[in-house]
Amino acid sequence: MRRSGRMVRVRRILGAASPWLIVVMLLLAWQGATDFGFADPRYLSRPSTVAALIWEWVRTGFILRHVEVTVVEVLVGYSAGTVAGMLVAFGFFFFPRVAALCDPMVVVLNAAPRAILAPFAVLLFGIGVLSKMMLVLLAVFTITLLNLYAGLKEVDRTIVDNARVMGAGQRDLARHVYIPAALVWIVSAMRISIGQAFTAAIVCELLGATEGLGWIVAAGQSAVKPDWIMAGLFFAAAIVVVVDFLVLAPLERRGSHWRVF
Amino acid sequence: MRVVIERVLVSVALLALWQGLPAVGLGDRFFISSPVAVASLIWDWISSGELIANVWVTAREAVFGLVIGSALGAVFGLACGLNDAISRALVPLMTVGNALPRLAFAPLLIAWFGFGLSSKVVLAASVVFFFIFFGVYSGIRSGSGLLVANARILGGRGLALLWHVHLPQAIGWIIAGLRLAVGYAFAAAVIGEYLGSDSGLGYLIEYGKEMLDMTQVFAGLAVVMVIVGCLDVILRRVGTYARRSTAVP
Repeated sequence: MRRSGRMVRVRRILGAASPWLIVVMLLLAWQGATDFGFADPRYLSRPSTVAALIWEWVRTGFILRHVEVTVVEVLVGYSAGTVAGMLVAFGFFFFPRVAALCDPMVVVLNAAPRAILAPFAVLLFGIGVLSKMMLVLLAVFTITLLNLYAGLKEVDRTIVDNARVMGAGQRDLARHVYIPAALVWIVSAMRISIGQAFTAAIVCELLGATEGLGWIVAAGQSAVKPDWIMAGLFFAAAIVVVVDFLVLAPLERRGSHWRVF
Repeated sequence: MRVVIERVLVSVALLALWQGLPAVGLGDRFFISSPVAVASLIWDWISSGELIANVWVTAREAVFGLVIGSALGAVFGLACGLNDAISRALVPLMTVGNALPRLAFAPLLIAWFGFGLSSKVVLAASVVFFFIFFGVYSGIRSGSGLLVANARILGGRGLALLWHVHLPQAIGWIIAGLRLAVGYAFAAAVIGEYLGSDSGLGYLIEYGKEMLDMTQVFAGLAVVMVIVGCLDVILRRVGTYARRSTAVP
């Protein structure tokens, strides 16, 4: 009995550790392949080189400025895009005729990731931070608009009718029914759009910038320094993962409790 | 019908505004170009055969990426959906991979796979993979366990179980994933072309950007948007049809 209990525990620990094991094995394989000459470190770099570069950037503080630039671009575009998306979604909801008129434009906007518009943004708004903010704004705006609009249309008719019977006007309905219902959708849109926001900012930086994480990657590409590309992407990925899993995912889980309607 | 007419009127009005604003001194033709210039450039591309050649390049990258990414995504999705040990090892990695800004990895892939076809195919496949993976995985996982158990008791095994029980339950999810994947595969090919290529729609747009030629950027983007938009509408129709014809038992 005891023995099988231990087996179960060992298997559970192995199960929990297995994703990490896979990552470690992949890194070791990469390091081994470049060390023993199966792959060319000039193109592939190697984990030890990339790790050393990451540590050096952190130690010298070189990376701080670039992280700051990218994060500020995303923050500004993200907040503005969320607010704009909310306003337009409520506008569409309370004025269905406008929504019907704008539908083809929304379909076109939604058909592809907005990062595709990066050359357009760079040409129109320059290689400074403005073009990145605008592109992030557009990406986040579209996602928020579509999610929230779809969510508002799903608010239960019975609740709306009951509130009307009890004498709620349009303003009371918005305040006590639609806005609380919308919160859940806004949080979920915020979670979906964070990845797209970073993608938009970084792709735009790749195409024309003088600082930021995307610029580091682009500089690594033009100087054929794969360790620069990888270390730059490491920071980009790390920020997205931290924001998504430590901030937005818990927020969304908690949000499901607010879901009264 | 009336709404269609109104939509056309709004679009025409916006185009007229775009064409007319610089004439009255608002906005600079250099930055905002004009619909007439864009349309005539697209017409030039069509008549010289340049458009078809470049669309063909991009479409090939997107289709290869779509096929490879879907196949791998389906295999991994099935493995994770049907086997607990595999799903415990891989799903956390897939969740993180799905959150990463993958389109930003284009320079790395170009450094590895070169300026040609393969780097864009890999980029498109890496984007498609996650849509299909999560479509298949969630489709199988969200299916009814009762139905699977009953089918097992009745002797359902292996492929038969997969084909008659798991697949019909997952089809809605798979189609939803596929619909997103098509647009994204095309966009991934275009973004890959921005960052290193010598042909394709993304190359046309990027070249326009380098030449500070807004007309060419607009024309290229318009072609991409029209293609992706049409694909989206078609796939939405197909999706509704497929869901209706493979109703869950």
